[in-house]
Amino acid sequence: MSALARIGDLVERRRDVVAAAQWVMAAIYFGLLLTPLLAPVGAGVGRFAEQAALWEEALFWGVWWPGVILVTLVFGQVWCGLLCPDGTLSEWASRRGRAHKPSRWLRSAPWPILGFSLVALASDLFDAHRSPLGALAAVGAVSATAIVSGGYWGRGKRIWCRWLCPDAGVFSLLARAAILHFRVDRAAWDAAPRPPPKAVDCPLLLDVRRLTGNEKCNMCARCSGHRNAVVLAVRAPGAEIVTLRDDELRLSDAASIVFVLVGLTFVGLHWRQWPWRQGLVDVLGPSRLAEIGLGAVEIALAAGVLGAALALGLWAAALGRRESALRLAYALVPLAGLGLFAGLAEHALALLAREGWATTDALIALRTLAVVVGAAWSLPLGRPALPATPGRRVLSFALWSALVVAVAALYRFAPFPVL
Amino acid sequence: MAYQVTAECINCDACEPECPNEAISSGSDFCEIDPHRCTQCVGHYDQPQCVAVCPIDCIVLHPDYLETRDDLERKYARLKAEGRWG
Repeated sequence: MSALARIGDLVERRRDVVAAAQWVMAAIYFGLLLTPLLAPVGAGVGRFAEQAALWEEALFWGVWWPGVILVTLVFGQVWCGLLCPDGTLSEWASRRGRAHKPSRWLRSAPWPILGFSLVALASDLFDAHRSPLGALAAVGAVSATAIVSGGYWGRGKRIWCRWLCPDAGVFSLLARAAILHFRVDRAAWDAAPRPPPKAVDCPLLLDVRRLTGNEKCNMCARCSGHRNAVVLAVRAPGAEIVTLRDDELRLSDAASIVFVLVGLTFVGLHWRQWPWRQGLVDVLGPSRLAEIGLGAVEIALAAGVLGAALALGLWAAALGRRESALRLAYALVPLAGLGLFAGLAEHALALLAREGWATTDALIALRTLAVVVGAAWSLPLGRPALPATPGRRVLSFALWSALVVAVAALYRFAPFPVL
Repeated sequence: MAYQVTAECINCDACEPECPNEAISSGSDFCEIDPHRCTQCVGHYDQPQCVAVCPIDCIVLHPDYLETRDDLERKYARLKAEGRWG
């Protein structure tokens, strides 16, 4: 048995330790979310309190969230399965709730990616990155919904994480590139003694027997060792993406990658600093109402334009072939994920810059490293999408390379955050 | 009627050990119920155990096996006579 498989089994056996860590994390999370509301920074507050609030903001938005993005991209949805406070609370509520089984309408719609788009827009409108009340409105509302959904659906399960969580809309895309996964030996599963001693404990109600990918797996390890057929294992970075069968390619996934993972997150993080944008605001006037109303519309429009341009680039690089264009969209996941990571991490550096720290060099280094690694990771993942004919193959690869470089340049040369 | 498992089955292994008639097996892709052994738990319980434990409601009545309560009781008696229980 490999060391990783032993780790998976250990996590499965020590649910008590995992549960303790989850509740500690929930306490920290809600502490970070609520403390600024209870002890606002302002007149009459000492220098120490101001510094504490600054570090707390930097930790919450600039270290925590980008850390989760990076861990999900590299190791899968470990955060979700082992530490996420929303998942913990939703499962806790589900053990005590009404235990309804998940309805068909719940299971058949892309609620997570729609939810992520709404939360991203709401975060911008409520100024969640800078306002404690805005953060509570955007992030706290998600936590409240997680608890309510747990109280209604499932019997000790995480219906929220599987079918509703907005973050899962993006995490499920990122996790496909990860190097860790739970590998299921189908032959060993089918050959195991019957009846099984216990049901497979998957809080997301995944079909573990036929599990082939990381898309929805929360890496909680509760299935590790089931029927002596499930083990934690390592794989090549992006292996799941390059081995996707044609019937596994989904237009909805590609649209999510292009318009949300790249389009919406890029615009949300960088659009307000864009020079053209200020010109638009100057023309329309400075009223707050215009600012708020325009905020959601302009971000949605800008994300749509960026996504459409990217989709056009993918279609061109695929030489007009639908399946290849979809494959290339999946191949963009590492670059988009690292671009998102860098954009979020820059928030912490910008906060420090506001306090007089010299962070420009660190910002440039962070961005450069993220886009170089992202481009080097994404580029070869497009190989299965290339046509077989040598001439067309060279043309397609040249266009795909140009597109990867263009996206990398977009992340690298976007305006730096100003707080 | 006997029950059947639809293709929505997630292979959670919850139903198989619950079946008092040993009518449920893994199947090639998802769980299967042997209609000749399923009595809807008549003779054992007040309600079908597999339906109760299925987390996603993918166990439904099989339209090809129309059986009355008397039919199910006779099926139970036949299975009992085979010596599996009691």
